[in-house]
Amino acid sequence: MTITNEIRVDFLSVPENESFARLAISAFLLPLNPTLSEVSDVKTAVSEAVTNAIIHGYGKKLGTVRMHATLTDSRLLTVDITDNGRGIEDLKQAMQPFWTSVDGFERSGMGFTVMESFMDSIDVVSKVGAGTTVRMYKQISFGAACAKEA
Amino acid sequence: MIRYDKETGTLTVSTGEELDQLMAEKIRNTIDSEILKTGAKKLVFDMTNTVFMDSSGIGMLIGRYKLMKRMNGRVAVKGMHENVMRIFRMSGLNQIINSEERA
Repeated sequence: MTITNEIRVDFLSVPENESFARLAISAFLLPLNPTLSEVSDVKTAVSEAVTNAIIHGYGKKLGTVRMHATLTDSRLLTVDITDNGRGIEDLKQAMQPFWTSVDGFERSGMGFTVMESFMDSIDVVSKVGAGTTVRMYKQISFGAACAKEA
Repeated sequence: MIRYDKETGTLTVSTGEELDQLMAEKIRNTIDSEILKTGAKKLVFDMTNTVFMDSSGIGMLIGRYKLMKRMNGRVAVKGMHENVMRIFRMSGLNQIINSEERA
């Protein structure tokens, strides 16, 4: 498996950059001619991870969020979203559907569930006081690309 | 954009293109103050223009649902796009909020 493309984007942890991250990952995928639902799935998962980094990772502080994405010749997308924020104390609990650390602030607690559902798999590495990396994988189909060539 | 129909007591909110955390924060308080000001009996989210929603949007809908429930009102969504509907269903909100599929 050879890496065919790669991006690293660092941005400030302000909510405006959630849509920036979604646009950037869509643009990164575009040359593969993915299906609309693949683009929508990846955008949603990235949005969740970036929102988590901003709201839970940094909270009221500002910091840098990094999006690192790679594509391979077999069309496997890997996206890492990293923050250097407060980290997650109990990862198992954090990943439970509908669980949220900020009760009363209208968080749905669905972030990780959405990432897991919309991507093929996710890995989370977190250290209290050091930050969190969410790594997400998705195999992009040949469907739309083949349809275009035919 | 929010409009209130006095005759039916219906408050209609047209949500923007992308219902994420930024948008949810922006519209949440405005909607709540309109609900309290008008005493609306029904809150309708017109999502015809919304092509993206994440779990922050779901959180915003849950909050408004709770407020309307406290006031013995109802909530409905309409015009939902298919990809927005997916996350709506995943949240289970479709079981408590009435939704009309996009024509």
